Amino acid sequence: MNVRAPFCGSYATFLALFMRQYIPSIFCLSFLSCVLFAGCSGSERPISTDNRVIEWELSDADALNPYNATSANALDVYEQIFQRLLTIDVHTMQYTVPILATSMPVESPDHLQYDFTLRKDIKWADGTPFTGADVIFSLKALKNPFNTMSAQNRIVVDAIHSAELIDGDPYRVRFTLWKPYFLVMQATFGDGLYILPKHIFDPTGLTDKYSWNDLAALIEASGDQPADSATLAAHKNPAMIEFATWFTDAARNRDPKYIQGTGPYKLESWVTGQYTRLVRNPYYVNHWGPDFAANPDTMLYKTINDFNAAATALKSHDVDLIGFIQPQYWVDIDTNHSGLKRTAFPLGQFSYIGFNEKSPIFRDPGVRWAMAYMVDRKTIIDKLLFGMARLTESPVWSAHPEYNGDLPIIPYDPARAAHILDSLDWKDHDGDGIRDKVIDGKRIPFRFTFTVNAGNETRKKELLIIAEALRKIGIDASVNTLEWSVYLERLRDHLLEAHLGGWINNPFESDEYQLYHSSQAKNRGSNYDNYHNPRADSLMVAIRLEFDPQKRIVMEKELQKIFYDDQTSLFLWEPLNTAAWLDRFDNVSWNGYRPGYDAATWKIRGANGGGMKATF
Amino acid sequence: MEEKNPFRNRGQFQAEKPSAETVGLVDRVPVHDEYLVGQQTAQTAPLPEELPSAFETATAHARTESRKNVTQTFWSLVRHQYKKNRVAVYALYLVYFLFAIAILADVLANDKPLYANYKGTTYFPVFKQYLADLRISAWSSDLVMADWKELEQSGAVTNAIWPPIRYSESDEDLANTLAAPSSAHLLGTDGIGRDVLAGMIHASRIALSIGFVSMSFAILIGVVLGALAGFYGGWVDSLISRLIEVVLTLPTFFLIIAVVAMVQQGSVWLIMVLIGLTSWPGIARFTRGEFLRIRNMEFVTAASALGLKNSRIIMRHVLPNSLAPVLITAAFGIAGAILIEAGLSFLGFGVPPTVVTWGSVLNDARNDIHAWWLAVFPGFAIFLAVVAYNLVGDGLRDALDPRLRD
Repeated sequence: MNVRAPFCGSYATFLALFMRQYIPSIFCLSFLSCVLFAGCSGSERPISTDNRVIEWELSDADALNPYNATSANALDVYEQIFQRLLTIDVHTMQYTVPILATSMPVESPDHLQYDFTLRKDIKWADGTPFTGADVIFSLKALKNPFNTMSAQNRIVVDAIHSAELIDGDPYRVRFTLWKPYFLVMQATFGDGLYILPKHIFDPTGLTDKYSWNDLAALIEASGDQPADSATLAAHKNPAMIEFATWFTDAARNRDPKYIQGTGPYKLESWVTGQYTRLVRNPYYVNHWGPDFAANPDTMLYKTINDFNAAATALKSHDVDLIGFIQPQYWVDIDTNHSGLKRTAFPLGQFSYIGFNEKSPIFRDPGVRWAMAYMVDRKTIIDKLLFGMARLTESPVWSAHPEYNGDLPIIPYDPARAAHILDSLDWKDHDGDGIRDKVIDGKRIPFRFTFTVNAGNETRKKELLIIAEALRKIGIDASVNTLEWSVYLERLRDHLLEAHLGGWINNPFESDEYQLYHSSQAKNRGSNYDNYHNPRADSLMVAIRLEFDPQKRIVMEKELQKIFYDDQTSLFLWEPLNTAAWLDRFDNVSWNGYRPGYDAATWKIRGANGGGMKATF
Repeated sequence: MEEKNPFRNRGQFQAEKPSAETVGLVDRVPVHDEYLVGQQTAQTAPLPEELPSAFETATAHARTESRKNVTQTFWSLVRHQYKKNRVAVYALYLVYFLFAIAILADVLANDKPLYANYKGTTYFPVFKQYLADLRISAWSSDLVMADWKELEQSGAVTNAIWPPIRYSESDEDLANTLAAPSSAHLLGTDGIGRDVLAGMIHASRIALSIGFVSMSFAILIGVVLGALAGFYGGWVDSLISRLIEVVLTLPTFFLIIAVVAMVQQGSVWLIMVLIGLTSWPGIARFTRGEFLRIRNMEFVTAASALGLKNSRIIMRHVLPNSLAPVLITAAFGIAGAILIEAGLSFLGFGVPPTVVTWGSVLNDARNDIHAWWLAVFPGFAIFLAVVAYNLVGDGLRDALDPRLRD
């Protein structure tokens, strides 16, 4: 035996042996392949006239049952399948278009009863007529507390006690509320309460076996909040449990047999990790005008879980539409030559940095103010967002009347920040280059970690810029990335010290209760940074009960001023939604209602009528 | 042919001379170092003088050879052979060069001057920072968060001598983001204005330490398990050999990605440990093979006849003679580890975002496709380092192979 045994242990060995003999050929090969690839990407492809739209999605939907799904990707898809009683007019951004109802509901003076008259000419995708029984079923299904998947979507019907047919008429439905809710028209009837077919989702009539009072008992037992697991365990209602089990089963979330509604399309197939394909609903008739047209034969949602690869797919005409393309790719699109078009418009998002107020460092609003002075937002918007954002100091969408535009924008001012920190005794007492302070008898260095979701390079770079600026004034900030689901888990447990995040505002009037009320700092609520201010709490509750819009606006503005003074979160900017699409459509329009477009209303240029199937 | 094998000669020499027992592992380590670092050490001196007696037992041809080269030791022979391979010698110089850069990183690229005069006092800020980090010295309050470039511009600092690159790896020039190579930034800047050259210089520390630390881990595990398996044989050998086979079947790269994804706060050390924990089987196999060969040699038999304990035979007689193939595998392993780390950083796993590595600069190139300098320079650095280590491994293998000797 000698040492020249074959080196099977490492592929690097193979590389070395290979290289020594073949270096010239490697260079030739790589040169050749460069030329070849360059040739491919440069070639002009004829633009397809297929009567279909291929939309890009970053990841698969979590479910296509609108009550069980929580991801934005799912919303893009099921919006085309299911309809609601009324919806938004994307031109005025008001909820004034009755869809499954013949007209807007009749509201009682005490805001506790809403009477709907339903359309008689609507059919489900299998031809069965739509009736009031479907509406009642839908509310019962959503309110079923044993369905843990729909907990997040259930919030919009918390205020509703029941829905019943008026005088047994299958086309008249009355909703009765526990207490007035100023957003019931928008958030409930116009947004969260999709109508599902009873004969498909509840063929054995399980929901008939539990009453509104059965549901009420569960909600009353735990007060205003959704029922907790102990309460649920004490109220064993077999029909309710059986229905929840049936309704959350995978088939009810992704099987084309079940995923069908009254909307323009129905699910044809869903191949995990690849695409979701919708075809026309044969029973869909457009009663509502061009905003509700269904022009393409096929809507295809293609999953490519990488922004860069998605941008390349668009350039090579493999997808037709990217509803949100990252700014660095967006600015790259050459609209003159590539056959691509692009647009940027506000969609109600805002970005913020949250500092956990449970942390001894960030407990003091003065420190949060110093942080605000340390973020060079103008440079970040210029360099990383390519100007595609607008500065804000509020969580309210700046297009809304309740937005408080009087709050002065906080400038980038490291000297001021250092002065504030010095005055709070955050000084470098031990000469190690990092500020420190004695809090509760312990010397705490100003050292913390920013957390952000992995894969979002822009957010990561934003934090690196901020961390470097902080380093220069003696604050040691590190940056950590977590996989999206882990990141969300940690946020919901209120465990992150500092994080960069974003919210998408609803198109309707803002209600800050979910994000900043102290009750939401418990039980995995959305007040991730444990913000607590009694004055703000009482204002948020009062706003929910105020039905005079003018008074609400005054209260909303005062609330934003409190947030500003407290630096509840470091509100950064409202990013513009950057979108790009292949120039093969007419009638392209964009609006402020998420996702900002309805590709079903677009017309494919040169498409030869219906019936043509996409070849994918 | 067999008689020329220096292993054999060395082995017999050791076995026959009782004094060989004293020439233990501790004595021999500097011999390895001498080869690697190029320093002659005092401990190596007694060996050559004893050599002739060892060669007396060999053939007449060997005797003449040994008389011609009285000062030859095993490693000087290897060095002599190694030097014949010019490419491998240049590769070794390249490795030295990378080490020099890694060690001098703070002096080559820093946002503090090497020497400066501030308010009449002389400072060596780069070196003072080392002392401050070690808590031996502390900055005065006016300098602790000072921006030395600003101080120089304002005239407070005079006679400053700056490092060749006036940026540290995290220093951001936000006015020049994604700037192409120019006189201000020799290799350009990345998306947040960090100097690519400064980043690469500091990242060479990570690349090299990843290679060395992970291979040290692998050698530690591989040599111990391989030695046990080879020396004892029987069920120990079966058990360890099966373990080696199991670990060899693991898809290393994906295993590391999976572990890193589970750990919430990634670090360079974790990557090093993980690479080490997955790359020992090759080393264990070679060690086992060498042990199987050497344990049946006469000098080992003699050693056990003298009543030496197994541990002593392993540590002092067998192990030192079986390290040559381990060394070769380790050289290739270092190259492999550098590639794995670059691959992980490129995919965004592993090291935290604040740490710049060659792979993470490459990853930035993925997001900013026009910025060719973000792809070419770190890519070339990875290529150079990996090829250098591979060529060193290649040269070592040839130098250690008695059959290739003329």
